[in-house]
Amino acid sequence: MSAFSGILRHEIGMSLRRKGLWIAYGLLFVFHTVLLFSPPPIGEMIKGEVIAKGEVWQVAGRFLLACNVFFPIVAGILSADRVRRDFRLGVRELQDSTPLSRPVYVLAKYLGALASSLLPLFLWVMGIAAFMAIIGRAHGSMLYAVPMAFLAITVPAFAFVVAFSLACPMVMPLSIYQILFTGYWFWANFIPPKLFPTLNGTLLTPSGIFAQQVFFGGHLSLNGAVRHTPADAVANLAVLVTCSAAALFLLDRYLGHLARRA
Amino acid sequence: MKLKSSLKYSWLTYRRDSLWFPLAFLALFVVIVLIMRHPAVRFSIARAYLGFIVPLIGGILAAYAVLDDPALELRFSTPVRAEQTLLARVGLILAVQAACAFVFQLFVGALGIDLSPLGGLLRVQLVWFLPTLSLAALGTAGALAGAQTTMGAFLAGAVWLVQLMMNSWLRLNARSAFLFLGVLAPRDPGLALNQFVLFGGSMALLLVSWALLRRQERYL
Repeated sequence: MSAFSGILRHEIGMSLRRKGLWIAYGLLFVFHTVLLFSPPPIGEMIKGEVIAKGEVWQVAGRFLLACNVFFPIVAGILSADRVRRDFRLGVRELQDSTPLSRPVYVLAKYLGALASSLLPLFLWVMGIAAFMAIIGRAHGSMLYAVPMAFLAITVPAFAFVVAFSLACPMVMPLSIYQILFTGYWFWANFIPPKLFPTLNGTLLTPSGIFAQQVFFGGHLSLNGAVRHTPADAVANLAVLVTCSAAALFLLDRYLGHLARRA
Repeated sequence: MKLKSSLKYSWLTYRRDSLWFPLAFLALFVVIVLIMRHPAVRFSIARAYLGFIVPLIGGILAAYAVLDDPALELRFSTPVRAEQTLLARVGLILAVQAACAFVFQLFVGALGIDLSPLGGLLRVQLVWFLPTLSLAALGTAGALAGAQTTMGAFLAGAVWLVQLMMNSWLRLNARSAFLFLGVLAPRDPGLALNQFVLFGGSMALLLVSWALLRRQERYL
């Protein structure tokens, strides 16, 4: 347990101290804040418009769905070197010589990378929700609708992305993974199925559209995807969790294979 | 003899993934074009490969071109100038992308896919070259500015995705800085200005990269 919490704390601390993480998130925070608080055509703030209590859940869902367009790209690209760098710097070899078990290492590394990707975004979305409530632009219930939407829409997408970003670069060059991942994110989430064969609209869609439509009354679908049922949303979450667990399991097996070969 | 050893050294130290990966993607798109039979779909795929995929690959690979080198410290101890390194590393990536784009155009031409909606022969080249140059310059400058390859890769990837996702808005409000104007709106009256801005911006970013690369202590 102490080994787990040690690696977890170290991973979170190390990731959060990365200059690149704050620059990347900072650029996107500025971009989204400008869109949120500028009048049309640049943004969507209409003067005098107040988000009523009945609309809060829908707005929170839409807000977090919009965050899932670009933020997972940052999380995926930045998490991609978290396990690889342990090999590059020789840390993994050292860890192999300690009683630390491999599954504990993989789980702690994963949760650490996930937490450090989610934390800045969570603080920012809560800041936005609080600010909107304080200036009277939104009803106070925004303050609990946003964390709920964060949990249902953002966390599963990030959990999926980070799991694959830790595992895949172990079997391919980092630059290749980053290209494939960026292309994948656009192809699997935003290309309309009518235009080109895609995973968009299937249970493997990690954009959060299922949860947004079902739990947050989203009437609009991205690129004309059909409206989903609660069973679809639960199945989507289950598929994403299963895929993430499978990626981590394979990573664990692969690390074992590397340790045996060393 | 000296040239031969120099070429041999370049080949031995060359990162092979920046060669096989663009070729793999080229092969993938060749297969997709062969599978798809409808002329309009074939044109869309050809346009997507040239206008979107080639720039993305060029941008992210360029982020790794200079700094992702185990012998970087050794290289800095030799009298190789910054502009030489930049030209050789980024130039090589652009050359591979250019070769892939030419081969793909020959292939689609052989299949009878008409690329003329994108313009004449020269304009078609600008459709893929300018976004590729821009993203490669951004990836290189980002990696050198952050002293981290990941930073450059993120910048190239994020700009690519933002521009694709917000293409309607950018076409209306910021067409001069829109990477994909040539591929999405080849008859736009602002295209010449857009191409000038993209080229000028790329040169400025490469200049910044050159200035950053001269400060070698940042990367050790």
